[in-house]
Amino acid sequence: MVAIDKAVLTLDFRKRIGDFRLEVSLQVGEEVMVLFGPSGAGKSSILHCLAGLMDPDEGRIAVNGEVLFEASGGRIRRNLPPQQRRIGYVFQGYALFPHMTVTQNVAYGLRGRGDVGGRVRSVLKAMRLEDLADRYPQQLSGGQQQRVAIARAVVMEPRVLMLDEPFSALDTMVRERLQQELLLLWERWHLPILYVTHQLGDAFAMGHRIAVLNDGHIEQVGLKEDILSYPRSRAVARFTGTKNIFDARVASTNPEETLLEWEGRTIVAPPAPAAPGSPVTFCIRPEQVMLVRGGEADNRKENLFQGEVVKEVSRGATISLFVRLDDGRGGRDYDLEVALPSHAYSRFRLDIQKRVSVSLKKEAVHLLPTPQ
Amino acid sequence: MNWHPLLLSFQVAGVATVIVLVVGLGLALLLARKEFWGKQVVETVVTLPLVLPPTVVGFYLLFVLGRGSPLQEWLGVDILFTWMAAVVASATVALPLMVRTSKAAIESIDPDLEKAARTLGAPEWRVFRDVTLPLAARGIVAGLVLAFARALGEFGATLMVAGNIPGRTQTVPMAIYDLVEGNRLGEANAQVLLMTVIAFGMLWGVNRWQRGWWR
Repeated sequence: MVAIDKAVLTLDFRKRIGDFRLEVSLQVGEEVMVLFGPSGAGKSSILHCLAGLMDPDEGRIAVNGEVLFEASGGRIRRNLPPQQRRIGYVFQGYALFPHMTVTQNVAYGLRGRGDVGGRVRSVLKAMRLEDLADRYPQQLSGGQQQRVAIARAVVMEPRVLMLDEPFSALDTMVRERLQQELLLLWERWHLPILYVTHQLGDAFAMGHRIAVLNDGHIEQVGLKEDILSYPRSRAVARFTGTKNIFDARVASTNPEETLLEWEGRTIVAPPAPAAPGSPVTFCIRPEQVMLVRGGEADNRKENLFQGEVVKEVSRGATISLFVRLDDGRGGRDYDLEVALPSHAYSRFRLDIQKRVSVSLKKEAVHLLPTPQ
Repeated sequence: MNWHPLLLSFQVAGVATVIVLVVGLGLALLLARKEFWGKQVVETVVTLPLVLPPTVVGFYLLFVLGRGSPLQEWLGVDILFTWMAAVVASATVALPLMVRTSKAAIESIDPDLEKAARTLGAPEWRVFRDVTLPLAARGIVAGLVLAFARALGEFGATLMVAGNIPGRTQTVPMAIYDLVEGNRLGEANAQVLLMTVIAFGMLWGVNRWQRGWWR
């Protein structure tokens, strides 16, 4: 089970790097916590601060109650050097020692501890690396190098394991296999894992919870389903693939629903604490927009609109349709992005310039907590 | 043939190279991995002997080693016009070659490798011994050989601070100068040939080492 209620790792610090401001407040339990966000959002800097390779300006970092770093009022009160933190760090690009064999790489962190040979062998076995023990890193494939990097970090029994974009340079097959293996390792060792990625699919495959980072601060932390369905800001909605984000105005509210006025149309949305007349931002994920067959286009469907397909993009298993609604105010090329499975696409006999009816289901319409 | 100049040349260049190894490697590490105020100035001053006329370097060294200098006044060290002054001159002009070559080698190492070693519990001296040193070894050795070769051929600055005293401070380049002055071209030829062979051999060795032919 995922124990997120018991925080093992506490991050609470601020750091200025030139014009960039990093502000982190995060509790991590025995779980895989994904740090997700675009490049330059500060994900790697967070790992550096936790590892002791970079000093925050102020704040506190603690693992299992032990304070690794503490500074306030510009004075550093405690700062454990990286050598004593026991934080496993799998670097982006692996950072294997090129002049050492697989065995020497993995044994490096164990010097001076007991039964080095036995521990190295058991980790090599767990990572399926026994046959490669005497190879040098440049003689290994990308996936094999990544497994060595993970083995080297876990063999010293770290209190936290951090991985920086671990699988983004690997092809899909290898990536999916390594993702599964890493989750199996987690099942076995149950240590907190901080997993940095900028790829949405990677984030959802790995994370128990996801922290969405943007421009140096955490926009939202939560279970992945919540992040997907209930983004708290426009940035989170955008990063997680909610393409349809609109500005509207509250027309009226009652305990059952909120009525929005959106460019002359009326949208029925779930109840929300908003005053009539106030501006709101609402969004709906492309795969939540329903295509409605001509015959079914009756008034029982919520938020039913007519429009025309103006563009389509195949994404493999799904197809994205770009629909311009009738009575639109113009200006934009399209109003709604709709994602549907390829088989549904052929069933509907869709094509560019076809007329379609779409329904925005009330439950799928999400209001951002503050207008943005 | 008079072998004394050659032996003295090797003695001076050898001692100078040891000094250059310690000072040069320290400076290279500092310049490659640390940020500090005045870094550009330090780097430029260290490189200066590479472009200044050796006589100018020698002139500065006269102030450092000569009468009235702190070294001589306060510490009572007077090495002017001894072979040790030749060592100082050779080391000064050879230092930039060592610093520049090994600094480039250290900079070419991915800093993540050193960081990885730290997160794996290695103290700084072990990071240096296990990661930095072996990965920069080629550049460091190349820098040392270049420094040794440069020290062996030193003339101008050495002449200024150590003079050209046969049997005491006369190195091979000095001896050649004297032989040509005295129109003893046969002996000069022999010394010139010797220097050329040694210099060629060392540069060839460095090139091979850097390309890693024998690996």
